[in-house]
Amino acid sequence: MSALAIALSSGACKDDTTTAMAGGSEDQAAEGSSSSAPIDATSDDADASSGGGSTGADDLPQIVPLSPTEQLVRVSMALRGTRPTLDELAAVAADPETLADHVDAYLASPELGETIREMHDDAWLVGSENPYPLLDPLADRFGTEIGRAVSQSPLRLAEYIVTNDRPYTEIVTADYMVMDEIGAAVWGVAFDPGGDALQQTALIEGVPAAGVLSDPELFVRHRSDAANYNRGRANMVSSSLLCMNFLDRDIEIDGTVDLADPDAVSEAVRTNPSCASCHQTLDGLASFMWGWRGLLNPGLSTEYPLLMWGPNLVDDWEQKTGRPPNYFGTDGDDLASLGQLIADDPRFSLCTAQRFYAFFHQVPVEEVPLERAAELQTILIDSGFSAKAVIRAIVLDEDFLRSYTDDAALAEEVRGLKKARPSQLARTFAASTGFVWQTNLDMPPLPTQKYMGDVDLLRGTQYGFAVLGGGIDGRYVETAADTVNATTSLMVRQLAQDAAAHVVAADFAEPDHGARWLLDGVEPDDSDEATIVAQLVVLHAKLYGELVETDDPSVRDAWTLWSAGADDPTRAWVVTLAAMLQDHRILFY
Amino acid sequence: MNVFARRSFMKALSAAGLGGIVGGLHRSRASAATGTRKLVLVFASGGWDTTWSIEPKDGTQFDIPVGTRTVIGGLPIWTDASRPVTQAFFTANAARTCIVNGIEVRSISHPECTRRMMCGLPGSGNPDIGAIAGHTLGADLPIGYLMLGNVGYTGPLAASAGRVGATNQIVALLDEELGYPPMPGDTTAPFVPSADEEERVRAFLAGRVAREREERGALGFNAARIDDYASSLDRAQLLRDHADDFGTRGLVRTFEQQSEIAVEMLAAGVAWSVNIDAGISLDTHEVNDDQGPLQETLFGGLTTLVDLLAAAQGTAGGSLLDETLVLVVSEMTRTPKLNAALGKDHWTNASALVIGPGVAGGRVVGGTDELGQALTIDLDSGETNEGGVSLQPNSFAAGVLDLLGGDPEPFYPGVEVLRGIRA
Repeated sequence: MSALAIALSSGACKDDTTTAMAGGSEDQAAEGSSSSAPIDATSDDADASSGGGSTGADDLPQIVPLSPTEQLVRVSMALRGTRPTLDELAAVAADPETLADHVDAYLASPELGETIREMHDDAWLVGSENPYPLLDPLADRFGTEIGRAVSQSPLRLAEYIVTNDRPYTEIVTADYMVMDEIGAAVWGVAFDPGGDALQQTALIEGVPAAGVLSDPELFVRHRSDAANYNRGRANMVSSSLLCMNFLDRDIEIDGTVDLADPDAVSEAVRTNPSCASCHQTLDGLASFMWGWRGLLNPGLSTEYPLLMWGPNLVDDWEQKTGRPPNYFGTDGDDLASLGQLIADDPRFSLCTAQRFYAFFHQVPVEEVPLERAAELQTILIDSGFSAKAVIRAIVLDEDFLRSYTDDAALAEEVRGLKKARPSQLARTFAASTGFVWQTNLDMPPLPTQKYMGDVDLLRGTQYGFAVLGGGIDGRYVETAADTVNATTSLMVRQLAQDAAAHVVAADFAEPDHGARWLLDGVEPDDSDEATIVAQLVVLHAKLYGELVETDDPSVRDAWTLWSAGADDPTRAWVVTLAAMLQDHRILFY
Repeated sequence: MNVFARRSFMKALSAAGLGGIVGGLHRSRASAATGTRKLVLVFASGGWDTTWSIEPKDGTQFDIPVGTRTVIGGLPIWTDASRPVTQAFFTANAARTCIVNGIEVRSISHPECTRRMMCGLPGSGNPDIGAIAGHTLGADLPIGYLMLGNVGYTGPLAASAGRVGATNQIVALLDEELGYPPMPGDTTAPFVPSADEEERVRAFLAGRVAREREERGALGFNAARIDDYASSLDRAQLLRDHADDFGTRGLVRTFEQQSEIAVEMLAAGVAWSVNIDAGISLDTHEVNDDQGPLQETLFGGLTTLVDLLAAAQGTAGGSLLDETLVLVVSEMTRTPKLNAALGKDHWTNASALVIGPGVAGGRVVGGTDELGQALTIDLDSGETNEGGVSLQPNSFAAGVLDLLGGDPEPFYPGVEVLRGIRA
């Protein structure tokens, strides 16, 4: 039986209308695209490695692929969140076959890390900004700085595993965490102050080795109150790692059960058919997690390290649900055995393939083509669970590199524009202009208590604009937007204006043209058309990844804009760049 | 999983002529069909115990609070002298209020029940009623659906929706003078474009959009994205014209503060629908007696909201309340019996209040039996009926959309519409 078939044959509740007990809570041209050869929409074997396409028969739907340099822009944005360099663009323009080499380089770049963190935050929803208390040894930090460090640790683990191309199964089997010194202090694990900023650390003493399931933050974020008995956590694990969500099912409560009697409830979830059909699976899964405290309110804590793991809690399932740790019919022991069972489950590899595809294609996990997911699952398994192998296959496939179609019947399916998330914009602007959009909220008139510190306005959710720009906050907004709205436009307008002012001032203060960010071909008093247009051509390459000629309509548009303010060339550059930086080619790739 | 695939959804939108704004915001506000209503969607999170107010029960099978069954304007309300605000709300508003009980939400999970009650559909990826109303009825406004509360779902209708942010930080984007301070030591002079420069930038961006529409952005998915981009420029500019209406940057979280902004936004024609977070958590797994003061807070906030709507000028000569529906939902109700912690857990039904013009005031639609099981109903009359159908969230949502003057069919295809909430 194939891995896919095995996955499809597995399941928890066989009846989608099964019932359950009431209970506790649980809580997203260069050469011009017209020069590209169309792809036969029905072809499965287009030359993906070259990013090219085959010309279909006249009567077949035609899908136009991105041009080679457009393909480079897309994969660069998808993997790194930045535009390609001019050298990279030139190389691919000269030889489109080098695209795969650039993908490999991007996969090896440190910028891949934030992409991996963001992808996993879509599943785990841990990236919060809740402040932590200022207690020794972290009394001189900012509350949100501590909170951010803690909330990032599961994502750092994923980043470490993927960027180092370790087997992806370590997501659920690793016997280490990845912490900075703040996280290590919060949880009381050893950290080398002379070492790297991020380090592999030991697990909290006594916690079995189960990768992300051994990270306390996952369970701080996904709490379980007294009556829930870890069921919400079990579903979080099932939905995020197996793509199997118990909550998709309708339930009906058996009104004859005395909910005021804990013993009656416990008995019902084990023996009442209307309850047991789901609980026999859900509760067994939940029983693996009893070592984690149900709730932790850091704000009420009086000292670090915080206490989240309780060895004495591990067997509490005996009193609570009476169901021993069990993984969809297979007896287990502790978190480590749960992690291994998940790693060995074909649903885990299939779900991994689905989540990776969904992230890069910007589609819901449920809409990932099953056949394609199965292909990627095979790649994952055959590569020894190399996440990079899966990512490489995704971004080099023709279905990721589509531009548009003239066939109205297909046009809804050809997602030829990918929306840049706020974090991608942050990286794009930083890499292109040197501008980092931030503020400091501990200055008057706001409270002077050390609380917020520096705020990253594109990544922050509480005070920043990440959610307004289409990102998630991990709590109330769980899906990234794949399009733009008024608040996105407002955000990008301000970002573009601030970045334009910054980069023009910085570049014109830099005498060495080679050290400038953008304006490397002009001086403040230049105003002749040839010089300005030549600079605009370069800007098209740097900002959009477009290799264009001086008579390109887009360049002419930019010249028209610049020349209207030519009385003050410096300000004309600010205006022009403010416009170019809020163009749709910045927001979509 | 969303009930129908995104592809089908977008085709349905397209077939209904709702596939998005093409070419910016050129339609006038008068283009909305006669009889359409604006919407304020109030979300009271946590799951309310309706036996404390809108669903009186006797004490046989239910653990109930101290109180009396009082019929107010045709609505049976559980009242007590300790809860005067609740009683006062219905005394003032029963004639324009319809209670809906026994909505079979069929889940006990907060997030899932929230989606089912707000969107009418299970799973993720669907728009809520506010998003649908804002997109279909208020597409020509700066933000069709304004989300002041934390919880809101836009699905594929994100382009016509917008959030103000957890700390109302949208204000920092509406007016340069209200923006965040620069980093210490940053001496770069801020760039504030003149009106002429602003116009030139917009012309440049519009020109780029026009070129994109010639080829890559001509059809389908791509065209929708380019249209969204183009309309977002117009919407953003319109929003900037209303910068003063959004209040101040900082924490905005009380029901009353959100109500003030909501009414401003509706009255000023900035938004068609607004969602509000009631600012309470009704999740009383322990100490169910907290429901009393929590619901007092809820009905106090509702009183303020309705009073503000009544005091605001509408567009048709009457008050804003005459043209605005207030929908109050919580994700679920609570178990009939107290648990061992004297709290109540989650129940698989939900209740709602529909308040405003065109509503069957003084009517209770649906209900539950002595064990708390939902009763079947006649969807046209709203009366419980042994031979009727169960009241599903999709029928309820379709009914609200119908009451708003929208067409439920593209969003709830084939779903029987709950018309019992109509006067």
